[in-house]
Amino acid sequence: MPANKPTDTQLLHMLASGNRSEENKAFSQLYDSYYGLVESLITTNSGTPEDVPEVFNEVLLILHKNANKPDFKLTAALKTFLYSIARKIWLAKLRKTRNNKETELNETHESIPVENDFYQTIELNDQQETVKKLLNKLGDDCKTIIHLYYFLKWRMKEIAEHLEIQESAAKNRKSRCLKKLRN
Amino acid sequence: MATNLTSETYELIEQYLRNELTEKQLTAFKNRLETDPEFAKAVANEESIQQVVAFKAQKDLKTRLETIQKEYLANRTTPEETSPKQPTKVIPLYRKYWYLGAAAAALIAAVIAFNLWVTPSLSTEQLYAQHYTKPAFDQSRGENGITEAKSAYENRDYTKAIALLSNFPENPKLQQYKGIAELESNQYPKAIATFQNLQSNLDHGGSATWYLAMTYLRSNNMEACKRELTKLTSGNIETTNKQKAKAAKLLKQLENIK
Repeated sequence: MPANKPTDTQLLHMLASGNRSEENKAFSQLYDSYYGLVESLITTNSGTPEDVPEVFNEVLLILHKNANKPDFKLTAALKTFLYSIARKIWLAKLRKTRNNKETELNETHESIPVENDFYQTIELNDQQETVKKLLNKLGDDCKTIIHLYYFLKWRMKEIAEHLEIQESAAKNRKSRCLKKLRN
Repeated sequence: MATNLTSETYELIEQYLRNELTEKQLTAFKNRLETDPEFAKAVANEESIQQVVAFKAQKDLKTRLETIQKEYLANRTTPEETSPKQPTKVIPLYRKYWYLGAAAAALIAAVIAFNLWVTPSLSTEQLYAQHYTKPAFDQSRGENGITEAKSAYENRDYTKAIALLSNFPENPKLQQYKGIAELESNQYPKAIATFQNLQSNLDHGGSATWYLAMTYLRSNNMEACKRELTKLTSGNIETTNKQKAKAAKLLKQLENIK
């Protein structure tokens, strides 16, 4: 464990590193630093401690998604950003259980507006299960580039830098790999 | 399957799915969607592929988060914060000073003794850190169980990895990863047993012996560690030259400690 806690900026870098172990370290740190914040929001607003883990994971997923956007910039403290995401999620859950009645929260921190940028829960159909098998069979270099390009949606420039190859080589690899999934 | 589309067209579709098209391009794209059924089919296919990629990635992320969450919540509820009972005593000042003098002398003696005792162990930690690297799970093909095991292994969910890898007792490579998972989760006796079982294997005996040595090093059993390393340096167990050299180096470092 590093002696100094990572800063907000460092944590975001770790989430956007394309490296699983760096991401895991960041997630761990975020748990240590901010779980309590979300817990107090939820328990002060008709929630129980058992409601917190699911919400907190959703918050981290959204943070991860945002951190990987090419031009993402924090406009407030990370704490405020995380609180704002948690707030939005919890408010939505409360409204659902109260049949969309207007709900007001007891705020436990300041917040900023956040977009409705949540992950959709996907279920695969049969044809997609076949594609999934194809995806599993790909080599590591194909898997990596597809992950970075199609899921994290990095720009080719960043992908090339990350893989330490020329941009043209990265583009070629991407085309070659995607072709394998299209047959 | 629409395979007669050019790579430029596919590039365009990819950009569309990444929301990278300009307004002009978007309008043209949507027009083509409505008028060209082959094109529409290709776009739908591409969307489908993207969903699969997203599905896998999200699942992976969620699994990792759940592991981290479990660890965090488990550590959180351990009652470490119970403060020790401290009886309040009123001690006359002169007595306090006397204690200080004796404490200082005792402290110095303790520090020296501690240093003499602890240094060898600190060195073994350093040696372990210097010589041990967790090997990458190098198997991408195989049945579903293996992919899951690889995932669990990489995400440090060793309980799961060990359980899954136990289903392949005849596969020495996988058994070695099981041993590593046991080592990483501090289950030394199990790791020792796993590696010992692999020592007679022609292809994996060398590396199994190495990791066995690492396990002994980690659990501070220097004699056993040296014994295993000697098996490698003496040629008793076949291994690569590189491995032999590493073993020789560590052996030398261990001799210097005692």
